[in-house]
Amino acid sequence: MPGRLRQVIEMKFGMVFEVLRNLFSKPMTVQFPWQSIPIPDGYRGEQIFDIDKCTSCGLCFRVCPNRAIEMIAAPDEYKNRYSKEYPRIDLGKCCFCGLCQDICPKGGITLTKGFFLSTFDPNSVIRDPFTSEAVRNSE
Amino acid sequence: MINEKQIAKMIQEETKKAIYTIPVGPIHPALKEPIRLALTVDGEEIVDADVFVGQVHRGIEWLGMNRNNPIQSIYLAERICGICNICHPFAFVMAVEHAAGITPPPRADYIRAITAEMERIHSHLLWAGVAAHEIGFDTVFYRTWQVREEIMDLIEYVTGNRVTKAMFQIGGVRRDITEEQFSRIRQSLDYYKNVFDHLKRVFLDDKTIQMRTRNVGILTTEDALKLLTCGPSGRASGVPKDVRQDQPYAAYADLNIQAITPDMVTGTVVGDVYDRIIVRLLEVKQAVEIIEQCLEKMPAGPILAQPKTALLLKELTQAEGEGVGRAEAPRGEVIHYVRLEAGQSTLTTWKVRAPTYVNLISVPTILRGMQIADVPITFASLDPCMSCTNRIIITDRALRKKSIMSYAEMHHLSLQKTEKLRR
Repeated sequence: MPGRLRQVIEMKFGMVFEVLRNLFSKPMTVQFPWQSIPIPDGYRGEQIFDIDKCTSCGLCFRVCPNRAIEMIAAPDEYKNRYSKEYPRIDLGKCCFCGLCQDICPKGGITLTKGFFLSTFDPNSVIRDPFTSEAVRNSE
Repeated sequence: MINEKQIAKMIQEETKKAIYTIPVGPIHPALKEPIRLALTVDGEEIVDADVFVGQVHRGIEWLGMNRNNPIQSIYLAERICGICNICHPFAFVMAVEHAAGITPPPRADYIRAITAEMERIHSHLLWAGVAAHEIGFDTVFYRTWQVREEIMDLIEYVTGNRVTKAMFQIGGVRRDITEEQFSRIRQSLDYYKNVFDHLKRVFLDDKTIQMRTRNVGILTTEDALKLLTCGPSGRASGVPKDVRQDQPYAAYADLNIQAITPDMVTGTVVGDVYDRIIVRLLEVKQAVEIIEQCLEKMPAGPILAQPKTALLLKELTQAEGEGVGRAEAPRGEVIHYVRLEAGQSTLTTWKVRAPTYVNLISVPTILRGMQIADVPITFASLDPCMSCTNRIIITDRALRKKSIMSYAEMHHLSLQKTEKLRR
């Protein structure tokens, strides 16, 4: 009975076939950070804030579930151009839900694919809105 | 009430042998989450067991009632549990919609059902790996979690993150599943269809697993009915109850869902750990079929009843009413109760009843008469999720009254409340 014989061979020697198959196949480990699995679009990662689009409505501050956004006034050197209050995001409290992106009427906050956010310095976790190039070049 | 010390004393007087109480937990290598089991043992056999919860209480309902508005509370509900973080927001959002009178559009219903089934696949595969690990069969643990990586990649593609999927919004969903994404989803579903036979063979035909799980941790059908066990643990004991079948919500009313019981594979219902493995593996297959049907039948249309979040917040502040949301979590039936009052930006009342809370009541019945060595796999086979379970009860300190309600009284009051909510 070829069916029964095949069953017996698979039962007794199936492990050997599996071992030979695995000996000659590539390991499935991805050598991170030299290699990486591609991240899909729409991944909710680090935020980018465009200060020129902000109208200071404060909706992002009101909707954030973890109170990670705080509205602060500009330092003196930028006060004539940016006269209102702008959101400062604390990435330590942020849960990356994307509500600030959804609720902003001008599209000022966008979530990118950045996920390399671990750091040893707790001060670098708070993202000041006035440190971007656009703000520094505006004077 | 007789406690374990009195039982121990009684047995000691009868048999003149020392009875010990062994605690398992809160921190124990066999448990994935903290819970304390106090096992009264006579030699190697368990005479009685008791369960103590409360080690993971985080005050989530308090935050929802005192600091967060309803939209922020969705993200809090999502973090009640790391494994079941679609079903808690699902039930919560249905409760708020019930209270405020918002109806989500049909396309949102289908997207909700698709993400809920994806979560079911991931949760059952996680459980299967953990169960294999509790037996000691680590190779199967790694193989099952490797199979699970495919659904995690798919979830990241559809929702933006592997865990904490942030898909729900009151009145709909936040992201659409477009036609271009269908082919990627179907690719993953084909992978699961091809690998399912392999998984079934590994778990159900393996002699070692059968020796360790057959006739271990038996919960008979009448015990399951008396103790109200829900979810796959109840279905494995022969109670064919499933919220998607009995009170369908979202898109499940258009599909034909049948509760899975182990006699579909073996022909009889024993109610042991092996039956629970059967039910959960078959539910993975059922979830794949449900996602396929939803993809075919998905209607066109908007995904949110109120697309502007600021206006939605305003509407919710003015809403008044009570709502109950029931969903079929991977572990059973989860109920959220919400009460909104006009003019109050936070929720007035929020109560979560997780399925593990009910399933834990059957632990003493199952563990009686078993060996200590069988405790890890038996406890894990109920798929306990302690993070879902630790919730609060609101008491009125000013009244300083304590009353004990009889079963008949409580049953009568619950019936009254259900009638009131249904109208």
